[in-house]
Amino acid sequence: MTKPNTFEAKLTKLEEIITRLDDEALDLDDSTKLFEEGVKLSKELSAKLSDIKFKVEALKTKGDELILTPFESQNA
Amino acid sequence: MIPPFDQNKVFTVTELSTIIKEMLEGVLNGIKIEGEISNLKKAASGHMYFDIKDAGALISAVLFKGYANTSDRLEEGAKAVINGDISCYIKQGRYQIIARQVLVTSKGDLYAEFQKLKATLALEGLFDAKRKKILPKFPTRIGIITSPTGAAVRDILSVLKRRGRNLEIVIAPVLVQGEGSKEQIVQALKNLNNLTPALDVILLGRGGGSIEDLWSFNEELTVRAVAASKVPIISCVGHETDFTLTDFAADLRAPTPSAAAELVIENSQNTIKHFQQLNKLLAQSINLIYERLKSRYEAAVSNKIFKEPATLFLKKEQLLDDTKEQLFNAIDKKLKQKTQQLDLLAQRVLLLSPQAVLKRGYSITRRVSDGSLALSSLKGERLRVQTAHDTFEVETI
Repeated sequence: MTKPNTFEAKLTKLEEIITRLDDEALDLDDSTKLFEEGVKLSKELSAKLSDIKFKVEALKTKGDELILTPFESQNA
Repeated sequence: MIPPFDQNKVFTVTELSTIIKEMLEGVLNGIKIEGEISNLKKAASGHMYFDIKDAGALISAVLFKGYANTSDRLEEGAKAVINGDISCYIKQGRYQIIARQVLVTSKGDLYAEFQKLKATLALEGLFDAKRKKILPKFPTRIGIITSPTGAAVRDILSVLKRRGRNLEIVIAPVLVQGEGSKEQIVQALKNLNNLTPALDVILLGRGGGSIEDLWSFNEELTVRAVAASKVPIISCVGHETDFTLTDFAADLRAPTPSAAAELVIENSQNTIKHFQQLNKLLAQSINLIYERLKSRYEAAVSNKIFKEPATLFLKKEQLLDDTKEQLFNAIDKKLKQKTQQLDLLAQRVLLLSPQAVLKRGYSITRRVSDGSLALSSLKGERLRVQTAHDTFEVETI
């Protein structure tokens, strides 16, 4: 149901990899490949999680168009 | 009014509570207060417990059974004037109004309307649990539908800013009460649903108020738009005690706007924890694979063949030696047997030889004249007799 590139999909994929790595029957080559894939996913997820971006915008209408402008709280 | 007290004195909790009680109960006797009745509960004893509230505050109230006949019939959502005394319950640090008379000034029509619409929409399945969408694990794009000037937006932003990370927030400013409010909310829901990339969650709410103030969130138009949203919605209207129909139609209800923001952050933080756990497991998994291979390798190399390769060789050598010996023994035995057979034969041959016969006392007699065997002899003929040990001549007489 989720798109492959979303945070959730990547997290699920990482969970699957870890489950498969737990399988004793898996040979070394496959394990290594899976592990590398896991590390890559983990890095991508980590980048998203550690992003400190904090952007606040207000949605306004200009004629028929929707525009986003920086939001400044009037009573902050 | 305030009794003089020693600023250096340290009060006990009871002492201070008692002072407060005396101050309040002494002054606020026989007061009149107008507000909206909510959380109405009728106890089995006949006493009525309820809150009287307006947009900014709420006070607990009780109407004891004995005063019920001097009062109007209480109804949820009704506006009423209470005549009563303030009473402190110091054991729990609470104060309440002991009502002596409650007069309803306007009936809770809105409340009745609320109940009717709630029943209709519930029947339609609009509030069904199976319709509820799950909040994304790590929401980063957050929509907020509220008044741009209210406390709600400030509260939400301050929670998100303090504890959140990786957040893009889009505020759709709307009127949260009065004329045009519901239309603006519906339009904002539509606009926020159409954004690309899509929002992860929408917070819809406002600060507290009377049932009239919160009415935009009980309008059928609003409730249906909330139910139809593709983006998950957290409804956060008013205070903890305020329930609106959007709360029921939303995917999640938060008691207040800041609680809604906390929910978003909590979800993210749980995900971060889960992710950290996964990372640990990932690191452990490769170690485990390494350990598994290592122990297999060690088991293999600790085998005797690798430890003392000579053993295998020596064993084979021993086997060879054993076989060799067996072979030699067999040949030896055979040889002895044959030798024995040969000896027996030789003995038999010897027994048959003329020499052997001579040894037994026989002799060979030949004619001296021509050396032929003398199987018979004439008188005076000279014969040569051969015995085992001698040869001599004789004369036949």
